[in-house]
Amino acid sequence: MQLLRRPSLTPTKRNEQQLIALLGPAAVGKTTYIATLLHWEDAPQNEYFKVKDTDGDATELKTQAQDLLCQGQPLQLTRVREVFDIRKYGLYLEVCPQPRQKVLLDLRCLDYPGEIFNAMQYGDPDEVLNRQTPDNPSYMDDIFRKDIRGCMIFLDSWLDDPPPVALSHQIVGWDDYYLKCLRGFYHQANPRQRVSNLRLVVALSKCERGEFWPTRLDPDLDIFKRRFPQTYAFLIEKWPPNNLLFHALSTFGVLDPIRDPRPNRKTAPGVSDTLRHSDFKEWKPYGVISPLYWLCTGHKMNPHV
Amino acid sequence: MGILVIGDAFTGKTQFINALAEPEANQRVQPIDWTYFDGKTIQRTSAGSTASKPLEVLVHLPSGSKHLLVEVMDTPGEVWKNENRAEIYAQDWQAIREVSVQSEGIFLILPPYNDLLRAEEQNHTGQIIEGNHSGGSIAEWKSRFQSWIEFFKRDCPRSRHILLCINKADLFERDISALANQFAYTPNQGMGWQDRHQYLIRRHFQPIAKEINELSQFKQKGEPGSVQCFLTSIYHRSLLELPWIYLASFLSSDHQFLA
Repeated sequence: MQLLRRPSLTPTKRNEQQLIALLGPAAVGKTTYIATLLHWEDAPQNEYFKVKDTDGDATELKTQAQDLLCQGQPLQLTRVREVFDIRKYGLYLEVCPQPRQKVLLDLRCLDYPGEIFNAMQYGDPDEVLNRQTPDNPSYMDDIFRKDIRGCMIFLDSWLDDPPPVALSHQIVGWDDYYLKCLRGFYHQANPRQRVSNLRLVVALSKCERGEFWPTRLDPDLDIFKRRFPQTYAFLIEKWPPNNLLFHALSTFGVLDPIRDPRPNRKTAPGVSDTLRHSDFKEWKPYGVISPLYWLCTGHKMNPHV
Repeated sequence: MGILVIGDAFTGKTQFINALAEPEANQRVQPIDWTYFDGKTIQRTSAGSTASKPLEVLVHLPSGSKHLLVEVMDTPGEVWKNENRAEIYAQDWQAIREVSVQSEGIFLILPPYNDLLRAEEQNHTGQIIEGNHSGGSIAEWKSRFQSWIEFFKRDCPRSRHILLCINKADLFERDISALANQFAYTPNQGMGWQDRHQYLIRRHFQPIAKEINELSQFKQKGEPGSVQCFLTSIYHRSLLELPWIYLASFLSSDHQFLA
């Protein structure tokens, strides 16, 4: 794996900024993912990538990573009242996809709360959440506007924790839940002419879990086709193959990928899991950079990075 | 942002806040605005004197220092007794209601229950435990907590963080220095917030563990960190500071809790 050196990051032109939308159910780890990336700015010897926060929201989230995540406390749920509340985290990311090649990405990650993704299963989230007023533009128009380069959809599935079920709406298992949400996503994207030109990463987050860790190497077949067959078939059928990437990532990582593949997490009843080892030597996120690189450039790189 | 400090009479609410004013080496919580602490003599908060006062503290966190600018309302313990509420404490009760519906952080100062104190009495006879200090038997303590839950559910719709503190830990904790060391806030090592919380749930808060769980479920479905347990003593600065550090961790730079 070609690793990064530590050159200084220089700002790029504003018009190169790439907007990435993050979607997925609540507590799937979207904000934690960005917080983890930002936290790596302070890594003394950053082997994997170089990152820098570029705006106030990102700096704020970085302090949350240090004060909460690293101190064994989960981040708070992202809540919004209207489109203008959606946090946009700006970061420069320097990646090294090939030996002696450095690519600087100027990203803005839009962190949509889980309830929007969840509402997609019932139809138009703007109507379901009942938040659209003349002064308050539509969430869907925001997600599918032309300048959004790519969209990253986070999924996880805890077998002992059933998906959010509404009485009027029969859901059978996680596959069915994701199928309904992603079908809703497709039906929102299609009329806005975004299906053919929106890169889509469908990522299984928290892949440090024992049942997913060995399958992370071939997420297409071993995770999505096997665990979420209906969702997989739907996406393969509807989304252009060159705009679709299945991926597995883990922000917490495992203790040691070779010798000790136990998850780097602590579990306690009643609360979200928390980080076990928070110093840079022991905290090894898996697959957090390559999906962003693919979303921005369309080129694949080592999926472990 | 409003912070409400509530608790029964003689639980040490006023001292809980005022002890912060004592300068200490290596302190992480540092009051800036000294007008809050008017004089060193601590008078019992009396009827009709309930009002919120601004308090500005600087909390040193791993990511830097954060200003905690809060409106603190210290409440007279007697107001919580039902029979008095309508009469002499009507004015206080009104003031509390006004603040409680707005408050995002709520400190509930709990007295130690008899079993905690009794265990200590048997082991160590140096202390004289006054009746005032005790929160009664476990059953009494538990039913009192039930009524606090009612208060949280009814009168604190905006609360994001409920901090439950069993105060006066010096009265019953045999080796409090060891506990303080174990609980010490050392960034990136030692105990995390959830570890401390789980430890206390299993030990001192065990009688109300189920109620605490229900309360966190009620507050926000899936919202982490909405109820957190602490053990405090005004004689052990590091224990006293923990709730303030915890609260400040959730703050953004503009004094608001992050949405």
